[in-house]
Amino acid sequence: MKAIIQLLLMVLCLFVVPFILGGLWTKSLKRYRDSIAMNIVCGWMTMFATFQLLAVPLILCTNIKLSAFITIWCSILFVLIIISVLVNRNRIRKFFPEHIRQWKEYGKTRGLYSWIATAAILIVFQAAISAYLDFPFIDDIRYVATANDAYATDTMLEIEPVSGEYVGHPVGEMFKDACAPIIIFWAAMSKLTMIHPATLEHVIVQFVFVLVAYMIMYLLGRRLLHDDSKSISVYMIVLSVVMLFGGYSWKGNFARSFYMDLFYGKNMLTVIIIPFLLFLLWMIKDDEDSKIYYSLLFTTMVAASLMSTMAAVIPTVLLGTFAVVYSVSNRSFKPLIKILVCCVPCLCYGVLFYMVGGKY
Amino acid sequence: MMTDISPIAQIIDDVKAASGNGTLFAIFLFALFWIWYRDEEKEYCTRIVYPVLLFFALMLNPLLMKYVWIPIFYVSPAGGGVLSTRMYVALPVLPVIAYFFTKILLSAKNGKEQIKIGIALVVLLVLTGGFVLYDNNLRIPQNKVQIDNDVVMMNEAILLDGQKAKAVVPESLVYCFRNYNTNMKVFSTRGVHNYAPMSKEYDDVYDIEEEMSSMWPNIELISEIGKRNDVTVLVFDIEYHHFYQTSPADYGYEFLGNFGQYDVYKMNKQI
Repeated sequence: MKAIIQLLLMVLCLFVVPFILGGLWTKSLKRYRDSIAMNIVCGWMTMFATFQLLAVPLILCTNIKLSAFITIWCSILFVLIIISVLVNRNRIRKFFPEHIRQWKEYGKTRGLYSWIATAAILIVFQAAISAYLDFPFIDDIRYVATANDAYATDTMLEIEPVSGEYVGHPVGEMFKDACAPIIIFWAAMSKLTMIHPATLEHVIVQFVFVLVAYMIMYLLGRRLLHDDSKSISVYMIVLSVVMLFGGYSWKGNFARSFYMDLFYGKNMLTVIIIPFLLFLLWMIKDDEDSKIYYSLLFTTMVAASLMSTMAAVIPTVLLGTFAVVYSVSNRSFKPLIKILVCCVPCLCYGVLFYMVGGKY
Repeated sequence: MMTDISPIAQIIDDVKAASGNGTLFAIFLFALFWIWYRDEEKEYCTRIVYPVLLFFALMLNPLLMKYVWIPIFYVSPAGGGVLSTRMYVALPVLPVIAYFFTKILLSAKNGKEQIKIGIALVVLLVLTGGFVLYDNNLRIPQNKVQIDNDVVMMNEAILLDGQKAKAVVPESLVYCFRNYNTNMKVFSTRGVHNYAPMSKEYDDVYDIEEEMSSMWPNIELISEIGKRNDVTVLVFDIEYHHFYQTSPADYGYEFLGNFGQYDVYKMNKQI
């Protein structure tokens, strides 16, 4: 019985809630309005960003209990969910029938079902195998024990993870986690789904976020291949094979981050945040719904700060390169200014880390 | 120390580390060239090629490396030295390769040609890439929490009395010993460094770690320091550690059990 409840909570927290929250963003979009992937990815970014905005000041300035923090965070999400349901009530009714109709339409293109099925099998296989396999690593102690301490003692970064000593506030290396508290995010998800943090991080997160990463890749593919279903299916198959053989280097490697310990903040940054930033930057170039995409870019940069203190540099440089290229190609400073404004959250959290934590 | 690092050498190191065996990275560079030269989607240059070139201009610039990247990414040599290679995760290597391959595949005239190209591309990938799941560190998990069974059983045996315990463990267990149960504490430099640097406790943990790294640890010293710091459990790796005519049992720690390659001793509270 407990397993069924855990499964239901997992589906609710990891798919349904992000999907509904994503509706707040996709409602006004023209192109990706009815994309399930876009809804889920935008929903996750909203969850990450709200968590980051709330968690950092509370961890650094108070000794709030994890359960109290979760109550506040979930209340905010609940309000957003209500708003999303209200503003999307007409769309929700048509959403799934429209998808079923579209699915039937795919049958008219010869061989499309088999292309889609092959891509789906490859992707689910990869998600399952990466969740199943164990990749022990030296930083496990920081990621698993911190979440475990938070989960078991109802605290947030008050226990030094390697020694287990109560310190009452972040110390030393823990300042990284105070400014980029993805570990506390996993602890909160553990509480909400009633799953042991070690299982959640090693298995569930790996499975879910490999799927989310492929959703982002699908969005990139859609944009690159102009929404042509067959080409996108081929792209997804090719990509999943490329990913399997993509371990060409040990450092700065997308595929290795993808398959091994995705719950590490820097891996989430590499696999989830950076490709989505890339997608948003491409959409901004299209100059269609650019206000929404700029807002989403800003939100994603806040979400990036949740993942790693490295977010102060890597996504900022990425955005900077695009800002310069777009400004030169458009012969206008507007994209430069707007994109640079989106870098402000990452820079602020970077400065905060430098001020409170020094350099660890 | 930072000024000792040559920016050119660091750039070369970064490129070597990020490109790995180089061949798949070379395909990425070729794909960029193809997008610029052959792809009918000329606007993709603005979306893919030029930002990547600008990125390279930033990362391969010795001045920027010296004055920006090295100061930003410098950590202690033990922590990896300069971590500027991490910047290369911003490059969309695999999605761009996948796009390039897809376009080649879709340009085939018929199904037969498509199959031939598909096989050729897979062979190219197998030969040039690295199979991600072929990794010595990846392994079949022993349980659903993906923590070694030995660690789980040691935790359960040590914490059977419901009391918190503080352990000295071999270096190979530091990264995972606390992952199962939060009632376990571990006496290690990495932890103590965070909250009590420059203290007597830190000196003690250093001494213990030095002894634990030796094949012939001084049990008397470990026990003495352990007792001073409320260490109730000692774990030894029997494949590495050897005792010379003495054992922790002689110093107030009784043998609790053997778990795989580890022997566990727990403080006898009656002494």
